[in-house]
Amino acid sequence: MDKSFNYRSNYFLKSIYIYMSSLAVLAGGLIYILFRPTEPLFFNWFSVVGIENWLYTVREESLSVYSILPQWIVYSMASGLWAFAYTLIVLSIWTGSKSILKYFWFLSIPVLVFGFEVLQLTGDLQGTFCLNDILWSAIGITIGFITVSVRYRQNLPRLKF
Amino acid sequence: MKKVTFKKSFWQSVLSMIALAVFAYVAIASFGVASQKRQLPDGRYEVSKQYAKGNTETVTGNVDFNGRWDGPVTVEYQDNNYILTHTEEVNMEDGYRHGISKVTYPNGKVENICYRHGTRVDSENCEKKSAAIDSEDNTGYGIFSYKYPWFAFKLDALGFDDNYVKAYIDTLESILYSTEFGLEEFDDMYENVLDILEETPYDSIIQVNAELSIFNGLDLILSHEFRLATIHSYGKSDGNTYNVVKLIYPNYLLSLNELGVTDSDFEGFCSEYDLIMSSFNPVAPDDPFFVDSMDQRMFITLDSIYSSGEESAKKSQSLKSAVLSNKDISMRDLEQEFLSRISSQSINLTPSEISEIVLFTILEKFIFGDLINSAVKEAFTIKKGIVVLPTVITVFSGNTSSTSAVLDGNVIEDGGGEVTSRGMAWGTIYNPTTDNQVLLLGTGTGEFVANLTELTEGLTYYARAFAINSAGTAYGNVISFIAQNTTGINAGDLSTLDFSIYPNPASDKITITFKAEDSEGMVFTMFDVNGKVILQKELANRVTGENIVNVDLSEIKGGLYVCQLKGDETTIAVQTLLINR
Repeated sequence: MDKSFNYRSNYFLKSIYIYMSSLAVLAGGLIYILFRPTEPLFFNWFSVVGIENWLYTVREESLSVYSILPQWIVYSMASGLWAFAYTLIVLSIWTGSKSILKYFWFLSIPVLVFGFEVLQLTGDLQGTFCLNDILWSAIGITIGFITVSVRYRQNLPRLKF
Repeated sequence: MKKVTFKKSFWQSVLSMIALAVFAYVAIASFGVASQKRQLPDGRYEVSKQYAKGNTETVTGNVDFNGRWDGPVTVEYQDNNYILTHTEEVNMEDGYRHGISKVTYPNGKVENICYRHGTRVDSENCEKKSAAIDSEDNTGYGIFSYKYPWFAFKLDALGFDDNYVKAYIDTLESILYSTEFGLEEFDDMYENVLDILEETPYDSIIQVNAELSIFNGLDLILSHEFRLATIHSYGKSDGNTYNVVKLIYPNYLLSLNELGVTDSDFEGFCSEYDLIMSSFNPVAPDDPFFVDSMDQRMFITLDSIYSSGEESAKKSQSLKSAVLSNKDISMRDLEQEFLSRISSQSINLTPSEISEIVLFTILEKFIFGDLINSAVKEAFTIKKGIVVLPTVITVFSGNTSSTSAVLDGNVIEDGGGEVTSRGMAWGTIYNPTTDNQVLLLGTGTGEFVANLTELTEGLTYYARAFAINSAGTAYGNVISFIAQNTTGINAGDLSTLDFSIYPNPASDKITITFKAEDSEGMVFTMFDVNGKVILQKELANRVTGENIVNVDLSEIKGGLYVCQLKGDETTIAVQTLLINR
């Protein structure tokens, strides 16, 4: 396999991961925006760009769905999606790297994801500690690892350059 | 090779740090603020609030049509380990504590406190008859802990026990009284003291109290007349907010007149208001979150109209920017600035200017949300011998017949001055004043009884006790009741007669339609707002089924009237009618 093909293949793969990660972040954000009765702080962004009125109108429709959605979708799945997204980004940046720094960044995944929950438990961060959030975050990290490792395992010879 | 590896690692680290920053920011920004509300399977509502350090407050109970707590309510506090600490079980009426409140502390101590429409009264059995209360301790903390025990309880649940709160208020007062000043300077001096105390460990209670004051203010807004009119307009009427204000809340219109808003200007404003409100998707009045939708739409619409004005758009943006950048917004400064500006406004106010006035009347309720401030201010007035308005409450005792009712008034506090007159103001409009129908019932503090007679059967009445001293006229809470006999005929039920009037508003004539069960005679009567019969027409021997009758109004002057349809079987129905001339 020539190196240019390996390079293009890796570039395409990492692009896919970035898109997947972005979609996961967006999906998690939409859950908060559309289905959470509480208004997240990032609603301020919408005020700044002047689309808050439109947002409230949309939420009036979507919040009616809140009562029929399972609680784990509304309150926990976003955590899993964001954990998946962060895992994907970090692994796509560092997998295949020979630098020792990669272990620091790999470690940052559980530290960041579970650390937020621990800080909510101790009351140092606003929010509610929830075991479901821990579970979904773990699922998100696991799926992120599986996604990257399966793809990389299949393409391992191409990455050696 | 090493150089390439280092350079690559550097850029990988940069990318990773960017990713870390983005995700950390999104995670933090996703935390919710304020409260969550949901409906339980049994129809009750549950409102949860989360405060600093993870303490949560959960209120569970039923709400009335206007979204105010009504009936038995439970308030529970949990610490950040989800352990239940404080519990309060209380009955609410129109959003105010009314009846016995049973509070349970973490150490098992139970305390019973009696309230009458949000005011603590001194009665062990919480019976109707209670003596005028007087806090023995006239310091700021003494008044605070006596008048607002539910709020002291809340502070205790959030980690500020009574001793701490006492120490805070005593410190505040000691700094406040280190300088001589008059009542008109109280608010400025109070703010200065808070600035000083924010540099001390008391900053935590100052922050929490500021947050709680906002929630208190939001509760007060629930009873604002424009809000009630909006809910009535879109929940029970035809979406014409001006007509609802004119028919049921004309005293609010009078208060707007005093701020320079004419009736015609307000009607024009309401047209624009209703146009925008009707652009939202309809929400059924029986939707569990109908009131919440109305609240949100009301503020969006008011802001939209306000921002449509060139000058106000700039002010609105600067205010929003200040809020977003977490700058302190002093409601009192806003109030002063607003009052000085409207005094120089010309006639023919624009909808944008009227929207600002309406918003101001709503938002100034927030000033009364700071209960520590209210208690310290009251202590100040007592210390200085300044006479303030009396405190009065109104209680509905019951209907004695289909045309009479009994209400009780109670002058709880005289405000430091002699109560020279007291009584009951009543009528068919919300928040009646001494300009409406009045029963004078003595002087001084204490309880008094008002017997209202010659009421119109089936009509909804409003009443407020009042008391007058040298500071002015104080009104108690407003009570609404229907004039009906106690055997339970629901005079407000239109379903059996299907009584309707059109057009409404009308000018020279109206057409009334109704259903009769058999050929019973019916009587149509029109009353003015004082209950005087203006027109009466016998509709003899109507046919079974739908009936249509025209009524000539050419001899009747313009104004607000009540139309009653009564059948031989004492079935009655009532409608209000506005005649425009």
